[in-house]
Amino acid sequence: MRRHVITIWLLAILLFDGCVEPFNAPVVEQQPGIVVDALLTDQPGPQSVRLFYSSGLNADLDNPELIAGATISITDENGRIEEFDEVSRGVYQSDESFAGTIGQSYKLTVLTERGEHFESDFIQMKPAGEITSLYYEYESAVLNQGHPELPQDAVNVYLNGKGAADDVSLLRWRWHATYQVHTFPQYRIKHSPDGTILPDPYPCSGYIVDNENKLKSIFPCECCECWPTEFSEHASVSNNQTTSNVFNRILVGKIPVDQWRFLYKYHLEVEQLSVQDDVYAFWKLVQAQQQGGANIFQPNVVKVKGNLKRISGDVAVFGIFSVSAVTSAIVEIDRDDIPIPPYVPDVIIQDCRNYKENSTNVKPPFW
Amino acid sequence: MKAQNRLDSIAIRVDKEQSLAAVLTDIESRTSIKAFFKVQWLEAFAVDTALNGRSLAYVLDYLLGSTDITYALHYDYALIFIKDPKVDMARANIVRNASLRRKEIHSVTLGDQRKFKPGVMLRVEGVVIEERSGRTLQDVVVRLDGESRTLTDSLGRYVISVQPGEHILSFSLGTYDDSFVSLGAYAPGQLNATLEALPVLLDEVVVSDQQAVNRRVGQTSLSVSALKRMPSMLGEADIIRQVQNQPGVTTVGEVASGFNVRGGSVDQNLVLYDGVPILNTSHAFGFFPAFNADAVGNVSFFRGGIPAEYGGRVSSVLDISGKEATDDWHGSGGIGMISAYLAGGGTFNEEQTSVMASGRISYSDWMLNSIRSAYSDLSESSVNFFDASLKVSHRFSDRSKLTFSGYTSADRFSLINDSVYHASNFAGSLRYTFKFNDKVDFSAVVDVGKYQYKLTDNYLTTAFALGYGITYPSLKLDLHFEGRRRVSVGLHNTYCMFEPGYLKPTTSESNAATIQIPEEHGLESALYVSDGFNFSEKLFVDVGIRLTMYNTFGPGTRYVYDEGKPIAIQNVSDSVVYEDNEIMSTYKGLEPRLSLRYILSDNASIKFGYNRIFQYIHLVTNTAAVAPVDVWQSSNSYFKPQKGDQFSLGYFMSSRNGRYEAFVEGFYKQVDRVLDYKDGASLILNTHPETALIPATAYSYGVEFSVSRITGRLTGAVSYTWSRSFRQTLSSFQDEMINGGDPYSSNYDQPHVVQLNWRYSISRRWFFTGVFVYHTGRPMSVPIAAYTVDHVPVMEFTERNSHRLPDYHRLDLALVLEGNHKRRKFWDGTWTLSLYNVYARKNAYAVFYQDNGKGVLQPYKLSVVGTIIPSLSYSFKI
Repeated sequence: MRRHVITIWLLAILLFDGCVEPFNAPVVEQQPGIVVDALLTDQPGPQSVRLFYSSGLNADLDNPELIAGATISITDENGRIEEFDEVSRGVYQSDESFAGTIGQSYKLTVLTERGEHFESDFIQMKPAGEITSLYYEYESAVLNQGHPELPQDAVNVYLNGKGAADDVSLLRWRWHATYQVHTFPQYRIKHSPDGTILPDPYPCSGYIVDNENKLKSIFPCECCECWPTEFSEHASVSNNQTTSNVFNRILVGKIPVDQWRFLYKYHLEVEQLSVQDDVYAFWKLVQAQQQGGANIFQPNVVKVKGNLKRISGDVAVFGIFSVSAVTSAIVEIDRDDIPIPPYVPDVIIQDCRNYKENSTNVKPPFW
Repeated sequence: MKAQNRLDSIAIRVDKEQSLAAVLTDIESRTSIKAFFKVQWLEAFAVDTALNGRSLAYVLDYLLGSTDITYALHYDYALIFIKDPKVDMARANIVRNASLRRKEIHSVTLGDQRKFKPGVMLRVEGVVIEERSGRTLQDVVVRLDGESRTLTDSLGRYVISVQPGEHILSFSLGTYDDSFVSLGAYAPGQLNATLEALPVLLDEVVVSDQQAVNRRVGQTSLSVSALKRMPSMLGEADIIRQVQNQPGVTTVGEVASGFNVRGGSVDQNLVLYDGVPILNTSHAFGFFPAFNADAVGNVSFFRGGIPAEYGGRVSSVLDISGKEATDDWHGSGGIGMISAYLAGGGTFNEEQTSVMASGRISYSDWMLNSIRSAYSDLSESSVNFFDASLKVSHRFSDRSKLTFSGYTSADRFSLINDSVYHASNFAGSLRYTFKFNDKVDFSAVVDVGKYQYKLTDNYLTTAFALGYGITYPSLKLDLHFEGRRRVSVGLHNTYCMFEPGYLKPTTSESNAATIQIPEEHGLESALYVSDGFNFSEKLFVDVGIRLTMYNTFGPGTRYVYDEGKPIAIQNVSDSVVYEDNEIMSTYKGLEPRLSLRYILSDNASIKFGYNRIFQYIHLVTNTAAVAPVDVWQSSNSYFKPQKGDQFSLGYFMSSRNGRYEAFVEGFYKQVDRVLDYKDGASLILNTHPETALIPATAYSYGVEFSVSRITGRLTGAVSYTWSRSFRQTLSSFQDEMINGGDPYSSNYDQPHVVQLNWRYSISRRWFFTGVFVYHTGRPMSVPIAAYTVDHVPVMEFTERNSHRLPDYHRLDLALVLEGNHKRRKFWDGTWTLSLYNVYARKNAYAVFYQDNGKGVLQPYKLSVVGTIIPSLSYSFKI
């Protein structure tokens, strides 16, 4: 459908020299709102809540202004209160033993240092059902992201799942995946004052420069092999058009094939989360906002509504408190599964932990 | 005229009736008076013996009192007669304009110039008939010396009273050639006129609000004449675009096949082609019109005070009649940048049977193919459309007639990636009319309309077919009485079959899902009565009532949602299954209609209109314009009918010479239960559309001002409209509210609209025409903040429609060269050079948002037309 609409533009562009250009939308000055990113699952704790200010339109979303010093708690329907501790600026965690129980209801309370007070309603945790199978298919030249001349291949990850019986299932899917990269931090160089090039290995590479200006390994490299983890950045929820509890061939991820991801293997875990009505509505709106882009007939101007209410204070509150049971499944995609193997990666002269986001040099247990 | 002593003392003495000129000559010989006059001025005035003994002053006042001739006595002897030149100049002007437009002027003299009763107004009456068929013509505007005097009635009759003397009488009606008569009126008499249908098929639609003073409130007659003279996009004459240039009408942009009337949505317009509703009024998603102007006869447009015979859409009626052949065999055609068309017709069987056919086909692919750009794949795409019409009528006798009218249009749009869009309209009607006598006639119509589209994708792994269709056969019976009162009674029934859509995979490898939305069936019935009469000499009243009913039938399933919870699938508590033909829901509506016209003077009137209309089918859309995959939704258990009420009040005037007309009209409109979409709602192939749509109340109000110059070398109109259009949702659930339940601007809330169009005759063959449009940018929402939740970026927007796109304005110009003006020639060609968007403004059609790669949506502006678009087209008639 989307392609179709895009072609209407193309028609406009060709026939009438129509054009698409950046638009200076009216700038609405607004005090940043407070964002609550909270998830309570039935999995072993600690449970975690992030608190931060919303960003302007040109800001870096990954590094928002975090809010310290807040008092955060979850109350269950029996009145038991679980207090959260601030483990790092803006990040609050429960006790390790704290987890939700299916069938119980929970309420989130947030009190900031400046006196803003937000609360959710009681939200019941519903069963998550099961993922019956998880599989993937290679598709060539499906990603072009605005550059038709640069087609990119992708691996589509699909799942078949079931909601818990005797209930219309509202579900959300998310994934995270890990792969391996390797870098050559020992090959860093520097220029001496007289212009000659000198080796300058990162200390973590285990190399030093000896008296003859040669590289010399003194301990094993600590930052040559890393395992970055990436997270789904698209909202994906079940279709509530059907009363059926069976979900088949749900496309949960479209993983671009690049030089790194499938170099060795790609370890992907999908989680199926049960979501209550308001939480479902939130993710459904986010999904609509993301899918609506580039479609003039399906505008993506979607006002997303969260489930936190402002009790006091004059700052807007965004975000969601999700209470979800979780079930998960893992798939490993091998290099051999990619018909056109990725080309040989570049030589990266960097500490591998800084090359990709969310990287660790500790080999994961599943690797 | 002041009495003058000297003239009082001169007594009149005649033996027999003499002309005033002769009497004055006699007086000159008897007295020292010297009279200065032109003999022909005074020859028309006779002095008979009854005036013997009266003073000269008395006789002059008596004879010349109400004429354009005045006199004065200077130095006690010089009696000077002066003729006011204005009337002559006006007449001369008419004659000049008529000859400029290559009109013949016939001379008619009633009575004897020598033997008329001075000072008595003369009654001139007659009948206006169509030259070929001999049928009488209604609503012909009768002008005396350029001033409009009356309209012909339903039997083509007119009556006017005129002063004795020389006059120019003219008759004009929509698509007919004006007729001019040089009238010497010296006795009451009969003067019949014949009008000749414009010998050619239309060039373009020119808006002529002739007789604004006498029409209904909110009514405009779009007369189709001199077609190729207005600027157009790629040379395609467009009736819909002309409607969009009417006061009170706006559009959201170039790719907008619909139009918005007085703050209403596009589905609230009833567009009829020979009585059959047409749901898709454009080709190629709104770029080009779906109607071939050469095949169109009359076009009436009502935006308020809608008569009782129309119903089913709450905002406006655009009633298009297909052209009917009334002439010898003739044809016309044209070639534009993207399409070519032909039309032709004539009569046979001793003019008892007439046939008119038209066709148009696009050849736009060459444009796509000839353009080399970054989008090289596009040369594999194609855009094709065609439309055709056929109208055949046969007169069994002077009383009965059978007419078939058929219209079809189709679009085929194939894309780079193997997907093909195909849409089509069909409208066919069979009408039988029978005249019981001069005053009563009856008509029975059986018709059927159909609109459907299909989208297919042939890419192996995604191959699918998506389709939608609606078919609506109907039966209409109408009875009209035309006498002192104009009474109409009718019964209309329309059966609507909705095939709301399917999606199915078309190859075994395809991943496409299978979705089939169940059919829906509805029957819309209406019974109406209307009565138009003169309540007093000055007050004309047209009152009507329309009783409507809408039933939906099984088979079907109705879901019952938990009370006290929002309508969502997870809140279904029960479902009810209906058998075949079982009634699932019933709605009734009583629709009063009232239209009043109060004549203040010959040149001014006040009009009032009120209408209530129920609308039972709704366009389900989340865009402002008509999108290619829009769905018409039946009212059913979830969607109650829309109820529209509109009040309008206007003051209309024309200048005494009929050259200018002006009006100001205000309106207030409220429509209950319009459907608006929930944020993020998916409307295509939604098996539970009730969960995606929210009923809202729409209300709009505004004032329209318009001044037009309707005769002369320069004609045109300028109008300004100020109006607002809002909506408000009324629900207690947060999920079913837009903007928290506060009123918000509708998608087409455009407060200021200025429209200007003109046509200037440079010479008999050259015309310079233009259109200028300005309107406030339409509402939009803008992003204000961004954040991520669980690694997923989320944008925060302002409330719906709280901000605006940049203002829209555009100037189009055209230069037209018509063929030579020999009256009877075989071939008449016209060249039109159009410049669309002369100053190349990049008007924003839409603003949309694209991920900047970091999850933040950046706004982009889409301008459908980004430059000046010149086009050259040629049309001919034979």
